[in-house]
Amino acid sequence: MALIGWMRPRTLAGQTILVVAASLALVQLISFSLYYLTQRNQWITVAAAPGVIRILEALDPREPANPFQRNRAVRSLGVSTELPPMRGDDAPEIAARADELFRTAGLVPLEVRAAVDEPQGRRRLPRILGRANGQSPPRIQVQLSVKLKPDRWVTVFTRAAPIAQPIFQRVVVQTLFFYGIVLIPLVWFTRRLAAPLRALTSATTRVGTPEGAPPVPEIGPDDVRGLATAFNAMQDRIRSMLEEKDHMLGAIGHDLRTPLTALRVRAESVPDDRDRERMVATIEEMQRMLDDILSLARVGRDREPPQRVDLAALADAALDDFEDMGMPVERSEMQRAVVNVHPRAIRRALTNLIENAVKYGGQAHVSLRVDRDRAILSVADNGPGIPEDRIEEMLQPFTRMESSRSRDTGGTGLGLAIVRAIASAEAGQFQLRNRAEGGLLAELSLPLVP
Amino acid sequence: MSTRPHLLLVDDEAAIREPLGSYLQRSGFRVSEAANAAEARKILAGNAIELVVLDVMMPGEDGLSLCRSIREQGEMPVILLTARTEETDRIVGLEMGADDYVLKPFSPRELVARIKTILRRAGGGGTTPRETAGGASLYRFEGWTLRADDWTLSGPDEVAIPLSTADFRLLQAFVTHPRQVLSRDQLLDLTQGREAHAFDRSIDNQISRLRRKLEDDARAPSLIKTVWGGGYMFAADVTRE
Repeated sequence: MALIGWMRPRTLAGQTILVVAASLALVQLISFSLYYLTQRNQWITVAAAPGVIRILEALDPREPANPFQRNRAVRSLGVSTELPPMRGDDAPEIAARADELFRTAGLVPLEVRAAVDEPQGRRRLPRILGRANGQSPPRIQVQLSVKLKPDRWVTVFTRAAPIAQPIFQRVVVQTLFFYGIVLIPLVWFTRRLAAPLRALTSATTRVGTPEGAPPVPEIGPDDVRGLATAFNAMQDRIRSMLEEKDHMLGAIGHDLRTPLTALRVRAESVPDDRDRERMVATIEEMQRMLDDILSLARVGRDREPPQRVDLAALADAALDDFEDMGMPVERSEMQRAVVNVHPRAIRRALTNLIENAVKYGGQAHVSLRVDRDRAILSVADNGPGIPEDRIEEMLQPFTRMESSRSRDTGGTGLGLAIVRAIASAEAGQFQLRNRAEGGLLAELSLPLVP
Repeated sequence: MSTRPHLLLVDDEAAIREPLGSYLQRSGFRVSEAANAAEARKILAGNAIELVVLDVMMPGEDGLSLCRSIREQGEMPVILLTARTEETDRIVGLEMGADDYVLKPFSPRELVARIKTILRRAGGGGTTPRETAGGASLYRFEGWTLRADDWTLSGPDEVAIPLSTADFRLLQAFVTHPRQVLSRDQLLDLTQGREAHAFDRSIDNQISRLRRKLEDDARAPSLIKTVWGGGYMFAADVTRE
């Protein structure tokens, strides 16, 4: 598996290098095949020519050869009526080449046969590998038999050197050399190409976070540089949109608070007590809604770094507040569990959950447990729960159970949406489910500090 | 008539200033109104104002800046009117020297209650030591750190322990009055001024809860000492940041 992984690189640099290296290997293969074929072709001529020449020398009466030479040529020829036994492997290519050579010289043989006899045990390998130890290669015996007339065969034995080129070594050395020339600049170049892309990737993951993404260095080839420039421009636009959003929310918050405050002050002069109380309650509900909308919009935009917080102490503090106000809350014994969060945000989430449990479930039971590397804060109630098919919907902003839309329970329908937004901003998870024994269970899980 | 305390109300929004002014008058105060910092300075220079109710967000010179300059000139109490924004919690800890603040939209009755409390403190011969001008966002004592902006206490291991509202206020009362004997009434006064709902736990219960958080042995406490017949004393030096 690791090998396959290594063979199939995932990065731009790796893939480019792999493709180029594979193409280079293919080119080398083709070029060496051509080289080898040429070499072989030459060797066939080299193997065929001496025999042909001797036969021609011996036969050609016009050849003004000196008698000694002619004698020697004739002596080395074997003449027979039948095809003599062939020594070694049949070599039709050499025979064909010899036939061509005879025809070029004006002799038309009826049939040409050739055989090659290599020293034992060294058939092809030495020809390919060459000699590493510098010994002269064993010579190969070539038998050439020519049928000049229907019952006359002339046979000659000659020797030829094998193809002595150390082809394999040359392939390796040359390939490494080319790889060096091509791949070293390529590695440098792809890294130069990939570095700005990596910077862009890491910057992209931080777009929209409170601290924002750092500007990407505008380096590399023009098209990559163009991407970085475009990204930086986009990042600027996003930043200014987010700032505009914060600014606008702040302005809405302030601008709505002023008339609300004016109303609140004037409501105090309403003489009828019941009317006044109702007005004040309505104003306070509008105020809560405004607060909730603003908090939901600002979740995760906290610029302060998270701190290590004891979740058990946080739950205790929130529960103490509810107890001090005389609300029906219960707690299990909680063990210390340290998480890295914004304590105000988590406290806000827990407060929302306890408020919901008290409001819709009659009371809240809070417990904390540790499950491997996560701390899980649970708020259970004894209420009617939520139908399974509506649980997901309840996490959406402005969703409330039909039965709870009445005046007396109030609520903005933002409480759970805020909890979910906080959970995801703090690297946690939030889920709701119905308990088997009745009632709703809300669980907020956060990663423990290792 | 001369016993009616003279207040200065500074708010740029006439929609708030005018009805609030008449409400405060109906509640038994003499009220001067100013729409901006410049007008406020004029009125302060020409009248014997006893307390200033000041809006934080104002065009031109804002409330915090005016508050700081009032504080530099004397001991006149200031109550800030502020919107509940992210900065609110930090404003509490800022070096602005306000005596109290209320969040908009506030209940006018509550504002009146706060004004009365502060005037009583300021004029009543010091029944309760006034919170020292200028809060801080960090208080350090004996290896502990109290953060006023997110109500957490952290020990030497730097793991934050969030505090309940009551615990935080009690501890804040102690760290702002270190090495002073505070009676139960003074502690109630210092911790309960802020919101309408009363804490039904007794101060003694709250003290023991706080001692547990501070790992202070209740039988031989070293941080929050019980003063026989007198109340409690915070026996540590506090540095502020």
